[in-house]
Amino acid sequence: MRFSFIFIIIIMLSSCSHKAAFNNIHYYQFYGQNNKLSITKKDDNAILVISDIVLPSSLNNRGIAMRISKQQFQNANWHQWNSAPDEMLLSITQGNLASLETNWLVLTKSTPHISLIAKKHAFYEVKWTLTRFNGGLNNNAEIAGMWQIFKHQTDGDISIIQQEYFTEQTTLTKDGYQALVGALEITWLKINKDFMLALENITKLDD
Amino acid sequence: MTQTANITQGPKISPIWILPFIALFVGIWMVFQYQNDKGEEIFIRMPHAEGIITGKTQIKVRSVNMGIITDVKLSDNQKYVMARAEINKRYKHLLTNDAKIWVVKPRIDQAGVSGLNTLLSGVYLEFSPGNSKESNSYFTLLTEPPLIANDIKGGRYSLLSRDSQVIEVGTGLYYKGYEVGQIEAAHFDWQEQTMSYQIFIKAPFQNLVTFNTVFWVNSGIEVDLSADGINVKTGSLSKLLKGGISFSVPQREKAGDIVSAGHIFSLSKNYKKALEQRYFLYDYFVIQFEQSIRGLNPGAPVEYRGIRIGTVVESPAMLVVGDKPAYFGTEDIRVPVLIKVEYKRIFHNAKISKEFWQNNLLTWLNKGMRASLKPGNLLTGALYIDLDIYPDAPKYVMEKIAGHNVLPSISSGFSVLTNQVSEVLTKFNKLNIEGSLTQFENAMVEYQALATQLNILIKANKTQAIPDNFNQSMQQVTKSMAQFDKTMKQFRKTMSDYEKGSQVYQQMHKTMSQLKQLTQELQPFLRNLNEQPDMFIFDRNKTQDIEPRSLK
Repeated sequence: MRFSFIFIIIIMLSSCSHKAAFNNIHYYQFYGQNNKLSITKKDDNAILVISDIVLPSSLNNRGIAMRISKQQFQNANWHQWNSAPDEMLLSITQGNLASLETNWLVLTKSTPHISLIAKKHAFYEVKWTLTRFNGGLNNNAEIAGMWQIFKHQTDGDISIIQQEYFTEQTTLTKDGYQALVGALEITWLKINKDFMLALENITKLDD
Repeated sequence: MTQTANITQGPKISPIWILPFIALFVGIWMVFQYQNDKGEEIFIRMPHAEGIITGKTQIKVRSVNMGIITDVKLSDNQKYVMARAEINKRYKHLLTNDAKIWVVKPRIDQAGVSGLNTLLSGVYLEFSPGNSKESNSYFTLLTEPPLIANDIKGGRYSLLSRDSQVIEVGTGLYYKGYEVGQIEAAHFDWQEQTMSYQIFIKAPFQNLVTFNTVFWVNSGIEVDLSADGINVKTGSLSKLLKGGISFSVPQREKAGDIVSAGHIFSLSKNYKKALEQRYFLYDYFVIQFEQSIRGLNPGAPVEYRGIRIGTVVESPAMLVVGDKPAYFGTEDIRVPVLIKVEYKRIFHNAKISKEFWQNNLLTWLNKGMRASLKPGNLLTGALYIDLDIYPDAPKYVMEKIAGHNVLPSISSGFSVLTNQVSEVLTKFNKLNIEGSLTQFENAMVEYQALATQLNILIKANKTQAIPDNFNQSMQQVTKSMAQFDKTMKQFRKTMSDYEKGSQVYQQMHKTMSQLKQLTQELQPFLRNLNEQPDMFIFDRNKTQDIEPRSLK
C-alpha cells in the first residue's frame, strides 16, 4: 500500500516536472499595413462601418486550418493564430481599407459612440462572411465567401446595396505555415482592395 | 581418612514456587480487572437482526456511545432474535423499566428524511432513557422510533371518534393553526366501532386543553353544502397536504378548568360538528306539515326569525302511532318532522334557557307562533324550518304525538303566496283611489313650482360660476400631468444609462468581449484535453500537423 502510494507520487512529480508540450506551439498573425495614417473627419467623408466578420467554427479556430480533402479540414495543433481569426481579420481589414487612402472613414462596430454617430450621418456597412480561410489542396492559400454592403440612413432606414461572392487563391512560395500565413494575408489584402473598388463604384452610382 | 558429611536441613519450600504464586496472583488480578471493567449486560428482543453486526453495532443515547452489541442469536422457537449488549457501567442508571430502544436507519416519512448518515456507518440502536426508578435488563426493540421522546414534557390525552376518517400516527395537532402536538398512537376498537387516538400535547400547551375544549379533524379544505349555502374553508398548504387535528375552546366561551392527563375527548368530523356537541341540553318536538318536505334534510336549521334555535333530527320522523306509521297516515295526511330545540343556542346558560323556553312557549303559541318551511338554498333546494308569529293563524290546540309535543305549522310556499296575493288584492280594494288622485294633482302643482325654482337657480350668478371652478380643476389636472411628464423624462434619462452606446453598455460589452477572448484562448487547450484526457500526467501525443507545401 505504502509502496504503491510512493509510486503514484513519483509518477505525478515526474509528469509535472516534464517539459511542457505547449512550448512547441508556434503562433502566427497577419503583419498588417504598417502605414502611418491620420484621418480627420470632414463633411465630405463617407463612413464605412465594418461589421463583425463571420467564419465557421472550424475556421475561427486558433489552430490554423488545412484542407485535407474537398470536404474536410484539419486544425493544426502546433501552429496557431495569435488571436481568434475573426478578431484579427476585423482589425487587419480596418487597417487595410484605411491604408488605401480613399476618402473613407473606416470604423468598426466597437468604435465608441457609434450609435450616436449613426444617428447624425448616413453610412455604409460591410459584412463579410467567409467559407474558406485555410491552406488548400493545391499548394495554395484560399479564402472564399461573400460580402454585403448595406446603407444606413439617419432615420434608421437600412437597405442592402450589393452582395458579392468571391474565391481567391495564392500559391505558396515556400513550405511551412509561415508561408501559408503570408499567402493568406496577401489574399485577404487583395479581397479588401477589390471590395473597396466595388464600393467606390457603388457610391459613384449612388451620387 | 574418614570425612564426615555435614548434612544441613534446607528450606522446606523452594523459592522457585514464588513464580507460580505470582502468576496466580496476576491471573486473579486480571480476572478481577476484567469483571470490574465489564459493563452491564442487557438483552434486546427484536423481530430480526437486519443490519445488526456483533461487536460493531453501537447503542447510543443522544449520539453518545453507551454500549455495543456483543452477541446475536436466534431464539429457540426461531420466532425472534435475541441480542446481547454490553452497556458502559457509567450509564447503568439509564437502564430503566420504561426506557425505549429502536434501530436508527435511513427513513423517509412525514417528518422528512432521517438517518442518512447510517448509509455509510451502518445502523445503530438509539436508546431513550425513561423516568422509572426500576431498573431493567430486558428490552424489546421498537419497530418504529417513538414520536415523542420520554423527556419531552407535555400531556397525553385520548380522542374517540366514530365517524372521522383514519388519521395517521404522527399527524400534527393544531391550536389556532400552530402545531402543538402529535398523534402518538391510533387503533380501531372493532367491538365499539370507534377509532381511538392517543395524542401528545407539548408543554406548556397542555394548559390549553380544558373541559370545554373541542377537537375536530382539520382536513385542510372543508366544503359544506347545506341549507346555509356553500361554505368552503381552507387551511395552510402543509395542512392541506397533511391534514391534522385542531382543537380550541368554542367562540364566546370562556376556557374551563384545565384537564388532567389521560382525559378522553370526542373527535368530531369538522368544526361545525364539534360545536354541535355543546348543545347537549335539548328537547324533541314534532312539527306536522301539510305540504311536501322534499329538501328538508336532517341537520337543517330550525330558526326563530333568523335566530337558530335547533336542528332537524328526522325528516320525516319515523313515528309509530297505534302500530301504524304516523308519517304515512290515511286520515291525518300531515307529514311529521322531528326537531330538537337546543337550549344553548338560545342562551349560553342552557338551564336558564330551557326554563325560559318552557315558561313562554304556550304564550308564544297562543300569540300565533307557527313553524313553516322556507327555502334555505335556491341552488340545492334545501329547506329549513322557520318559526315566526302569525297573528291570523288558527287557534292553537295542544297536541302530542308518540310522546312528543307538537309545534303547530303553517303552510308556506305557493299556498302562502296565494294568501298573500289575496291579502294584497283585498287591501287594493280598500284603497281610496279618488282621494289619491286628488293628492296626485296637488303633488303635480307642487312639482311645477319646484321646476320654476330650479330654473331660477340655474340662471343665478353662483350657478354660472360652476364652470369656472371646473376650469380651475382642469388646470390642476394639467399641472399634475406636466409633473408626471417630467417624472417620465427623468425615468427615461435614467434608463438611457443602460442604452446601447452608454457607458454601462460599453462596460458590459467590454466584459463580454473579454469573456469571448478567454473562451477562444481556452479553445485549443480544451480541444487537446478532449483528445487526450490524461495530458496532465502524460506528455501530449506528438501528432504532426500537416505541412503546407509549395510547388517547389
